[in-house]
Amino acid sequence: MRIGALVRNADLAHDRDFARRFPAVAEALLSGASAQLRNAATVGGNLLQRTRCPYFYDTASACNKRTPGAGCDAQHGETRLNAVLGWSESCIATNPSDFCVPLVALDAMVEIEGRTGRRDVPLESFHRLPGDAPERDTVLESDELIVALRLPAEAAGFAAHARYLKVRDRTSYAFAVVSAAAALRIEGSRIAEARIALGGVALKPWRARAAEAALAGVAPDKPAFRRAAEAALADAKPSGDNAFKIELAKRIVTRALLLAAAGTPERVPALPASPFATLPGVLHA
Amino acid sequence: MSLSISLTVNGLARRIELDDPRVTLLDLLRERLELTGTKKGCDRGQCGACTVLIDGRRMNSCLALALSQDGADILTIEGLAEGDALHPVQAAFIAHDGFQCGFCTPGQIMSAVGPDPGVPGRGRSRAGARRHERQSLSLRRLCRDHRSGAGRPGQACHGRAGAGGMKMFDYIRPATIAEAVAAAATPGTAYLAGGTNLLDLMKGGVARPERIVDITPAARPRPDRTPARWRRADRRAGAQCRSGP
Repeated sequence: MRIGALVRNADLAHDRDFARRFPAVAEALLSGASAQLRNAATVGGNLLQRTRCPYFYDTASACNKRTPGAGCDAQHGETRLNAVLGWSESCIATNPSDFCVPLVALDAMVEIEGRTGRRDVPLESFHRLPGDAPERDTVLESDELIVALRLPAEAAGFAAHARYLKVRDRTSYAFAVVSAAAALRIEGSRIAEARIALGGVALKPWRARAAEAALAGVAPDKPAFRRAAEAALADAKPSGDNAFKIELAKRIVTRALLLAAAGTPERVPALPASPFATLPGVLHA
Repeated sequence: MSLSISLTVNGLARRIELDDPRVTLLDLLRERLELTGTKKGCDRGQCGACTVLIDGRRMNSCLALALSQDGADILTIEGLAEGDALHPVQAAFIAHDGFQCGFCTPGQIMSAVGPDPGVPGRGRSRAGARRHERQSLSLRRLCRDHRSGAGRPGQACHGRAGAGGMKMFDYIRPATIAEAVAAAATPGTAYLAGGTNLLDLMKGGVARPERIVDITPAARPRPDRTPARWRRADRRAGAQCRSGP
């Protein structure tokens, strides 16, 4: 499926055919921002949104992302919401997108047009980790334009078991503290293929391939999901006062997988991606 | 390019000459068109006090450049009542005393009135949207009739600057993708799409582009008014359309 870069978030999330084939993406879209913002925000723009690190926004603070070489006041500041994966000494910010989390799990491809022609970049390699050049969020060149996003046909194969789960400081209109997309292809009593990605933990939407590999061919149960979650966060380390996010992320991955295994709900829940949603037979995952 | 736009505001066609590309739809409504029912709360897309309907959809007018809205149909709280007959949502707010200080009320009402695409229930089904559209159309006609004496369709007015902290920029509205890409080759250029992040960053002084290449969906002509070359470009860009697998 090809989605134009200027399609608005609300239109995409409410497109029945799209939501039926890619329910976790629709759920992620509807868990983000406000109705007013979703009516204006675009697909291409979402891929390019900047971090919500308060030190990036506060022009009185030092920020390597805003002014290369200036330093990072976040390092010794309020670090509760900062990264636990893929961060560097120069930047500990996170990518705020909900939309990109299931997209990266589903192998989305970004279509880019520039003066020298068109190129395709997998979403997984579209966003950059900070390294020592945190001023560059993506591999997009300054004159290049995102014209579309593509989802491969096999991405719809996860539609029956696909969820997005997002823990935030209030139930709506807040960025993720930690979020996870989980998508399963279940054949018989075994997982044929798993897709897992995390949001709010790194400067890019974080694909957890080791966790996916841990689930191939196993039965979809809580111990297996917890093992996968451990694998997803194996390389995590706090960038400050945020060690809690590592355990939180493990629990969110586990619960997102449990929700996915229980089956995609017929329609997007009234509170999309809410951790307060009930899970049949499971009170506290 | 010319900083001249055409807008329909509460049923009244307006031609507006802007003297500054930074003017937001909110500042245009309040400071130039004297429609002060739409409120400026945070001015950064967070509170929703500035909610208006743009082409029938609720949006934050503080995070919308007036220039991007060329050709758009704007409905504000002032255009909601039919003469003395309030819109049912307005009447319900009064009946249920749904106020605290009341500053946010216009935004809350416009948000409640604005249908979301394809969302069933509570008057927001497709049928509800169509009903709303018909109602809006009749409201707009009524507004137009009601104001035909005082209203001055087609009269030019001049938007004052409402920079909102934004650095001055050159404004470019490309006609094709090739034009957009060529325009962005100049250093210091930013593409403007939905604007929900970039305009916020510009107001905060975090983003300070020298020039804006405006690809906002609202800035693109709508299909029914679109010349053939645009439709081709739209298909290629996928702007506001989606093709199958």
